[in-house]
Amino acid sequence: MWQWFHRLASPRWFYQASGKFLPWISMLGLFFISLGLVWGLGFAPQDAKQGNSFRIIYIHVPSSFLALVGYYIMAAAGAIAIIWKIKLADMVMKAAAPIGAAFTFVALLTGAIWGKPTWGTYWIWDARITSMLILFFLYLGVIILQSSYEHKGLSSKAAALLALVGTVNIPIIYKSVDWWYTLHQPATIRFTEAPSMHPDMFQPLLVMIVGFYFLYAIALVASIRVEILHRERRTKWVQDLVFTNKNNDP
Amino acid sequence: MFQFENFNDFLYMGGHGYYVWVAYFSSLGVLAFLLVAPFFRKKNIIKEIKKQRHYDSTGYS
Repeated sequence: MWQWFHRLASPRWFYQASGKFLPWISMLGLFFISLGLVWGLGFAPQDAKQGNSFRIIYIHVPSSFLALVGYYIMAAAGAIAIIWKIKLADMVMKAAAPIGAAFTFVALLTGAIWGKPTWGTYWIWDARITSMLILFFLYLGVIILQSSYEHKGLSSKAAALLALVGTVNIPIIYKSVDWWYTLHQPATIRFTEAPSMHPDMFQPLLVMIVGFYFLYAIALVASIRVEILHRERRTKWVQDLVFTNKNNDP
Repeated sequence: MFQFENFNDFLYMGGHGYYVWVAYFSSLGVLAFLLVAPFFRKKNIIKEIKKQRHYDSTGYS
Protein backbone atom coordinates (compact mmCIF):
# COMPACT_ATOMS: atom_id res chain seq x y z
CA MET A 1 0.00 0.00 0.00
CA TRP A 2 2.70 2.48 0.99
CA GLN A 3 4.82 1.43 -1.90
CA TRP A 4 1.91 2.07 -4.23
CA PHE A 5 1.29 5.46 -2.64
CA HIS A 6 4.86 6.53 -3.09
CA ARG A 7 4.99 5.38 -6.67
CA LEU A 8 1.83 7.33 -7.38
CA ALA A 9 3.39 10.38 -5.81
CA SER A 10 6.52 10.15 -7.89
CA PRO A 11 6.57 12.96 -10.47
CA ARG A 12 8.24 10.75 -13.03
CA TRP A 13 5.64 8.03 -12.69
CA PHE A 14 2.83 10.58 -12.90
CA TYR A 15 4.34 12.12 -16.00
CA GLN A 16 4.54 8.80 -17.81
CA ALA A 17 1.10 7.55 -16.73
CA SER A 18 -0.68 10.83 -17.47
CA GLY A 19 0.82 10.93 -20.97
CA LYS A 20 -1.13 7.78 -21.71
CA PHE A 21 -4.56 8.87 -20.52
CA LEU A 22 -4.45 12.56 -21.44
CA PRO A 23 -5.42 11.99 -25.11
CA TRP A 24 -8.42 9.92 -23.98
CA ILE A 25 -9.82 12.44 -21.53
CA SER A 26 -9.19 15.15 -24.13
CA MET A 27 -11.37 13.33 -26.64
CA LEU A 28 -14.09 12.69 -24.07
CA GLY A 29 -13.97 16.34 -22.99
CA LEU A 30 -14.28 17.54 -26.57
CA PHE A 31 -17.22 15.23 -27.11
CA PHE A 32 -19.17 16.34 -24.04
CA ILE A 33 -18.46 20.05 -24.52
CA SER A 34 -19.51 20.00 -28.20
CA LEU A 35 -22.63 18.02 -27.43
CA GLY A 36 -23.52 20.32 -24.54
CA LEU A 37 -22.90 23.50 -26.56
CA VAL A 38 -25.08 22.44 -29.48
CA TRP A 39 -27.79 21.09 -27.19
CA GLY A 40 -27.80 24.04 -24.81
CA LEU A 41 -27.59 26.78 -27.43
CA GLY A 42 -29.89 25.36 -30.08
CA PHE A 43 -32.08 22.59 -28.81
CA ALA A 44 -32.98 23.23 -25.17
CA PRO A 45 -36.32 25.06 -24.91
CA GLN A 46 -36.19 28.72 -23.94
CA ASP A 47 -37.17 29.79 -20.45
CA ALA A 48 -40.74 31.04 -20.01
CA LYS A 49 -39.64 34.12 -18.05
CA GLN A 50 -36.06 34.79 -19.12
CA GLY A 51 -36.28 33.85 -22.79
CA ASN A 52 -33.01 32.90 -24.41
CA SER A 53 -30.70 34.69 -21.98
CA PHE A 54 -31.23 31.66 -19.73
CA ARG A 55 -28.90 29.69 -22.06
CA ILE A 56 -26.00 31.30 -20.23
CA ILE A 57 -26.75 28.81 -17.45
CA TYR A 58 -24.96 26.11 -19.48
CA ILE A 59 -21.66 27.86 -18.86
CA HIS A 60 -22.40 29.69 -15.63
CA VAL A 61 -23.40 26.71 -13.46
CA PRO A 62 -20.69 24.27 -14.66
CA SER A 63 -17.91 26.84 -14.26
CA SER A 64 -19.17 27.78 -10.77
CA PHE A 65 -19.16 24.09 -9.86
CA LEU A 66 -15.59 23.64 -10.94
CA ALA A 67 -14.53 26.89 -9.28
CA LEU A 68 -15.59 25.37 -5.93
CA VAL A 69 -14.42 21.82 -6.60
CA GLY A 70 -11.11 23.20 -7.86
CA TYR A 71 -10.63 25.08 -4.62
CA TYR A 72 -11.03 21.90 -2.59
CA ILE A 73 -8.57 20.12 -4.87
CA MET A 74 -6.06 22.94 -4.47
CA ALA A 75 -6.45 23.10 -0.68
CA ALA A 76 -6.28 19.32 -0.28
CA ALA A 77 -3.11 19.21 -2.37
CA GLY A 78 -1.68 22.01 -0.22
CA ALA A 79 -2.48 20.08 2.97
CA ILE A 80 -0.85 16.92 1.62
CA ALA A 81 2.19 18.92 0.57
CA ILE A 82 2.56 20.41 4.06
CA ILE A 83 1.86 17.29 6.10
CA TRP A 84 3.61 14.58 4.10
CA LYS A 85 6.03 16.79 2.16
CA ILE A 86 5.09 15.19 -1.12
CA LYS A 87 6.55 17.07 -4.05
CA LEU A 88 3.84 16.09 -6.47
CA ALA A 89 1.13 17.52 -4.19
CA ASP A 90 2.90 20.86 -4.20
CA MET A 91 2.94 20.79 -8.00
CA VAL A 92 -0.78 19.98 -8.05
CA MET A 93 -1.48 22.98 -5.84
CA LYS A 94 0.65 25.22 -8.03
CA ALA A 95 -1.12 24.03 -11.18
CA ALA A 96 -4.62 24.17 -9.67
CA ALA A 97 -4.52 27.81 -8.55
CA PRO A 98 -4.59 29.62 -11.92
CA ILE A 99 -7.04 27.09 -13.36
CA GLY A 100 -9.44 27.59 -10.46
CA ALA A 101 -9.05 31.35 -10.79
CA ALA A 102 -9.96 31.12 -14.48
CA PHE A 103 -13.09 29.08 -13.76
CA THR A 104 -14.11 31.53 -11.02
CA PHE A 105 -13.55 34.39 -13.43
CA VAL A 106 -15.77 32.72 -16.02
CA ALA A 107 -18.47 32.16 -13.39
CA LEU A 108 -18.37 35.82 -12.34
CA LEU A 109 -18.24 37.10 -15.92
CA THR A 110 -21.13 35.00 -17.21
CA GLY A 111 -23.08 35.84 -14.07
CA ALA A 112 -22.57 39.56 -14.69
CA ILE A 113 -23.59 39.29 -18.35
CA TRP A 114 -26.62 37.21 -17.41
CA GLY A 115 -27.54 39.71 -14.70
CA LYS A 116 -28.03 42.55 -17.13
CA PRO A 117 -31.08 41.25 -19.04
CA THR A 118 -32.44 39.37 -16.00
CA TRP A 119 -31.95 41.71 -13.04
CA GLY A 120 -31.21 44.91 -14.94
CA THR A 121 -27.66 45.24 -13.60
CA TYR A 122 -24.26 43.75 -14.28
CA TRP A 123 -23.19 43.81 -10.67
CA ILE A 124 -24.77 43.87 -7.22
CA TRP A 125 -23.31 43.09 -3.80
CA ASP A 126 -25.47 40.05 -3.30
CA ALA A 127 -24.23 37.41 -0.83
CA ARG A 128 -23.55 34.74 -3.43
CA ILE A 129 -21.80 37.11 -5.82
CA THR A 130 -19.70 38.73 -3.12
CA SER A 131 -18.57 35.39 -1.70
CA MET A 132 -17.63 34.25 -5.22
CA LEU A 133 -15.58 37.42 -5.64
CA ILE A 134 -13.79 36.57 -2.37
CA LEU A 135 -13.08 33.11 -3.80
CA PHE A 136 -11.49 34.77 -6.83
CA PHE A 137 -9.28 36.90 -4.56
CA LEU A 138 -8.32 33.82 -2.53
CA TYR A 139 -7.15 32.13 -5.72
CA LEU A 140 -5.17 35.24 -6.67
CA GLY A 141 -3.68 35.34 -3.17
CA VAL A 142 -2.49 31.75 -3.47
CA ILE A 143 -0.96 32.48 -6.90
CA ILE A 144 0.86 35.54 -5.58
CA LEU A 145 2.09 33.82 -2.41
CA GLN A 146 3.54 30.95 -4.44
CA SER A 147 6.08 33.28 -5.98
CA SER A 148 6.53 35.68 -3.08
CA TYR A 149 9.51 34.31 -1.14
CA GLU A 150 12.98 33.62 -2.43
CA HIS A 151 12.89 30.32 -0.60
CA LYS A 152 10.66 27.99 -2.64
CA GLY A 153 9.52 25.80 0.24
CA LEU A 154 8.46 28.82 2.27
CA SER A 155 6.26 30.30 -0.43
CA SER A 156 4.56 26.95 -1.07
CA LYS A 157 3.88 26.58 2.63
CA ALA A 158 2.42 30.07 2.90
CA ALA A 159 0.26 29.51 -0.19
CA ALA A 160 -0.98 26.16 1.15
CA LEU A 161 -1.89 27.76 4.48
CA LEU A 162 -3.88 30.51 2.79
CA ALA A 163 -5.61 27.90 0.62
CA LEU A 164 -6.55 25.89 3.73
CA VAL A 165 -7.86 28.87 5.67
CA GLY A 166 -9.83 29.95 2.61
CA THR A 167 -11.82 26.70 2.50
CA VAL A 168 -14.07 28.32 5.12
CA ASN A 169 -15.45 30.36 2.25
CA ILE A 170 -16.69 27.37 0.24
CA PRO A 171 -19.63 26.32 2.45
CA ILE A 172 -20.46 30.01 2.81
CA ILE A 173 -20.74 30.31 -0.98
CA TYR A 174 -22.76 27.16 -1.15
CA LYS A 175 -25.19 28.19 1.59
CA SER A 176 -25.27 31.93 0.82
CA VAL A 177 -28.42 31.69 -1.28
CA ASP A 178 -30.28 30.13 1.64
CA TRP A 179 -28.82 32.16 4.52
CA TRP A 180 -29.19 35.56 2.90
CA TYR A 181 -32.09 35.55 0.55
CA THR A 182 -31.05 38.55 -1.51
CA LEU A 183 -31.06 38.42 -5.29
CA HIS A 184 -29.30 35.32 -6.55
CA GLN A 185 -31.72 32.46 -7.02
CA PRO A 186 -31.37 29.30 -4.90
CA ALA A 187 -29.44 26.36 -6.25
CA THR A 188 -30.83 24.71 -9.35
CA ILE A 189 -29.30 21.37 -8.51
CA ARG A 190 -29.23 19.85 -5.05
CA PHE A 191 -27.88 16.53 -4.02
CA THR A 192 -30.86 15.81 -1.82
CA GLU A 193 -33.76 16.79 -4.08
CA ALA A 194 -34.90 16.48 -7.65
CA PRO A 195 -33.70 19.38 -9.84
CA SER A 196 -36.03 22.37 -10.07
CA MET A 197 -35.70 22.36 -13.84
CA HIS A 198 -37.55 20.71 -16.67
CA PRO A 199 -35.65 17.60 -17.91
CA ASP A 200 -35.34 19.11 -21.41
CA MET A 201 -33.35 21.97 -19.90
CA PHE A 202 -31.62 19.89 -17.25
CA GLN A 203 -30.14 17.15 -19.45
CA PRO A 204 -27.91 19.50 -21.49
CA LEU A 205 -26.81 21.10 -18.22
CA LEU A 206 -25.70 17.72 -16.91
CA VAL A 207 -23.79 17.10 -20.14
CA MET A 208 -22.06 20.47 -19.79
CA ILE A 209 -21.14 19.79 -16.15
CA VAL A 210 -19.54 16.49 -17.15
CA GLY A 211 -17.77 18.27 -20.01
CA PHE A 212 -16.45 20.95 -17.65
CA TYR A 213 -15.13 18.29 -15.27
CA PHE A 214 -13.16 16.87 -18.18
CA LEU A 215 -12.00 20.34 -19.22
CA TYR A 216 -10.76 20.95 -15.70
CA ALA A 217 -9.01 17.59 -15.58
CA ILE A 218 -7.31 18.16 -18.93
CA ALA A 219 -6.09 21.63 -17.94
CA LEU A 220 -4.92 20.40 -14.52
CA VAL A 221 -3.06 17.34 -15.78
CA ALA A 222 -1.43 19.29 -18.62
CA SER A 223 -0.23 22.00 -16.20
CA ILE A 224 1.06 19.46 -13.69
CA ARG A 225 3.05 17.80 -16.47
CA VAL A 226 4.64 21.10 -17.42
CA GLU A 227 5.40 21.86 -13.78
CA ILE A 228 7.06 18.43 -13.41
CA LEU A 229 9.24 19.02 -16.47
CA HIS A 230 10.26 22.38 -15.12
CA ARG A 231 11.13 21.27 -11.60
CA GLU A 232 12.82 18.03 -12.65
CA ARG A 233 14.66 19.59 -15.58
CA ARG A 234 18.05 18.65 -14.15
CA THR A 235 17.21 15.00 -13.51
CA LYS A 236 18.41 12.27 -15.79
CA TRP A 237 14.99 11.08 -16.88
CA VAL A 238 13.92 14.53 -18.11
CA GLN A 239 17.23 14.99 -19.88
CA ASP A 240 16.82 11.60 -21.52
CA LEU A 241 13.29 12.47 -22.50
CA VAL A 242 14.34 15.72 -24.15
CA PHE A 243 17.44 14.45 -25.91
CA THR A 244 16.39 11.02 -27.12
CA ASN A 245 12.99 12.00 -28.44
CA LYS A 246 13.28 13.09 -32.05
CA ASN A 247 10.07 15.04 -32.39
CA ASN A 248 10.72 17.02 -29.21
CA ASP A 249 7.50 15.86 -27.68
CA PRO A 250 8.10 14.16 -24.35
CA MET B 1 -35.92 19.85 -31.96
CA PHE B 2 -34.08 22.97 -33.08
CA GLN B 3 -35.65 25.95 -31.33
CA PHE B 4 -35.06 28.58 -34.00
CA GLU B 5 -36.62 29.28 -37.40
CA ASN B 6 -33.37 30.10 -39.19
CA PHE B 7 -29.77 31.09 -38.56
CA ASN B 8 -30.51 34.81 -38.09
CA ASP B 9 -33.12 33.91 -35.54
CA PHE B 10 -30.52 31.76 -33.79
CA LEU B 11 -28.05 34.66 -33.67
CA TYR B 12 -30.71 37.09 -32.51
CA MET B 13 -31.90 34.82 -29.65
CA GLY B 14 -35.15 36.74 -29.26
CA GLY B 15 -33.28 39.96 -28.40
CA HIS B 16 -30.79 38.32 -26.00
CA GLY B 17 -28.26 37.38 -28.66
CA TYR B 18 -25.74 39.97 -27.53
CA TYR B 19 -25.63 38.69 -23.94
CA VAL B 20 -25.65 35.01 -24.85
CA TRP B 21 -22.92 35.25 -27.47
CA VAL B 22 -20.64 37.54 -25.49
CA ALA B 23 -20.95 35.19 -22.49
CA TYR B 24 -20.24 32.09 -24.57
CA PHE B 25 -17.37 33.42 -26.63
CA SER B 26 -15.54 35.14 -23.79
CA SER B 27 -15.86 32.02 -21.61
CA LEU B 28 -14.69 29.71 -24.35
CA GLY B 29 -11.78 32.07 -24.99
CA VAL B 30 -10.65 31.86 -21.35
CA LEU B 31 -11.03 28.09 -21.27
CA ALA B 32 -9.25 27.63 -24.61
CA PHE B 33 -6.36 29.66 -23.22
CA LEU B 34 -6.18 27.27 -20.23
CA LEU B 35 -5.81 24.36 -22.62
CA VAL B 36 -3.20 25.81 -24.98
CA ALA B 37 -1.05 27.59 -22.37
CA PRO B 38 0.65 24.35 -21.16
CA PHE B 39 1.74 23.54 -24.74
CA PHE B 40 3.64 26.79 -25.07
CA ARG B 41 5.15 26.53 -21.61
CA LYS B 42 6.31 23.02 -22.38
CA LYS B 43 7.97 24.18 -25.60
CA ASN B 44 9.79 26.92 -23.69
CA ILE B 45 11.00 24.55 -20.99
CA ILE B 46 12.38 22.12 -23.56
CA LYS B 47 14.15 24.99 -25.30
CA GLU B 48 15.65 26.04 -21.97
CA ILE B 49 16.86 22.52 -21.23
CA LYS B 50 18.54 22.31 -24.64
CA LYS B 51 20.16 25.71 -24.19
CA GLN B 52 21.50 24.66 -20.81
CA ARG B 53 22.96 21.45 -22.23
CA HIS B 54 24.55 23.42 -25.06
CA TYR B 55 26.02 25.85 -22.55
CA ASP B 56 27.28 23.06 -20.29
CA SER B 57 29.07 21.31 -23.14
CA THR B 58 30.52 24.28 -25.01
CA GLY B 59 30.72 27.06 -22.47
CA TYR B 60 28.93 29.37 -24.91
CA SER B 61 25.31 30.29 -24.60
